[in-house]
Amino acid sequence: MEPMRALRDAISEVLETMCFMCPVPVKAPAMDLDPAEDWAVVELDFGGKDAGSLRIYFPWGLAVEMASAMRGQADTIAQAEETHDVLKEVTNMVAGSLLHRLDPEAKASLQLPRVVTGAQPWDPARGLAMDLDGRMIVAQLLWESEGDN
Amino acid sequence: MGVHALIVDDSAAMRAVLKKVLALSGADVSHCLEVSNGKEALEVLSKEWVDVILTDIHMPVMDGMELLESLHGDEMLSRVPVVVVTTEARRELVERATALGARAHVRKPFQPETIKKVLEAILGEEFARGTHESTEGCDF
Repeated sequence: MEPMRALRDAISEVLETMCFMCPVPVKAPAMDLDPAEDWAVVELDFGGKDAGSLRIYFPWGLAVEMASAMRGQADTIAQAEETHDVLKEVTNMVAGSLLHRLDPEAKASLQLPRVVTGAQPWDPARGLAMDLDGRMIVAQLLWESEGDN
Repeated sequence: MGVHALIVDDSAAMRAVLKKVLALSGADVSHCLEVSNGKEALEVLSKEWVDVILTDIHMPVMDGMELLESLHGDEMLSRVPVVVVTTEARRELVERATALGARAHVRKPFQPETIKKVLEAILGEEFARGTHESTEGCDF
């Protein structure tokens, strides 16, 4: 399966199943995604035949809603630590689902996800965007063979 | 009586999800214990008996495979059914978990029904009816 399609399907599966949200694919925009500007960024490295990293950028307001939805406390505003916990778990599940789609033999391994601070380069040509009620999650795959890590 | 489940996952959100799934499955979760890694799980298991363990694989301090190894090496604890709930789908890892006594593997993300069916298969149909008799203290 083509990696970007697999990534799109993986994000949809996780958000629909665990957060009860239905993202819609949209054109990946060229924009500033500085974590200091209301974006949370989570990255996860994976090994195997095609080693690399998955990086997902979440708008902070949406991230808090996702955290509340997944924790089953829609009426409560999740704290920053709780929100980061959910974003890491979501990224972990997206990566697992992605690799399961890309590697049916299931030989790839996952590392623990981490919250990334500081500005991160975003290349829309190698990423995708998903719209959630007017807010956008963007994600990109960084292949080790391309020297991105 | 309720099901004495031990949920082992470093994500508090995932522990909450699993606890909610247990409750939606009809289980009384008032006896549900939760910890964030394998080391904490072993500490709990040294003091409390549980009917089933739901564990993640990737966790800091002590991961799920190390927990399975410890349980496998203990005559009493090796009798506690373990369900691995993880993003990992590597065949070698699933096979190793099974060899160490894991009764089932559920891949995240999961549908609540999947967890329910696995627990029904392990704990019996009374689990689904919310009338599960705890095996606490039983030497089975």
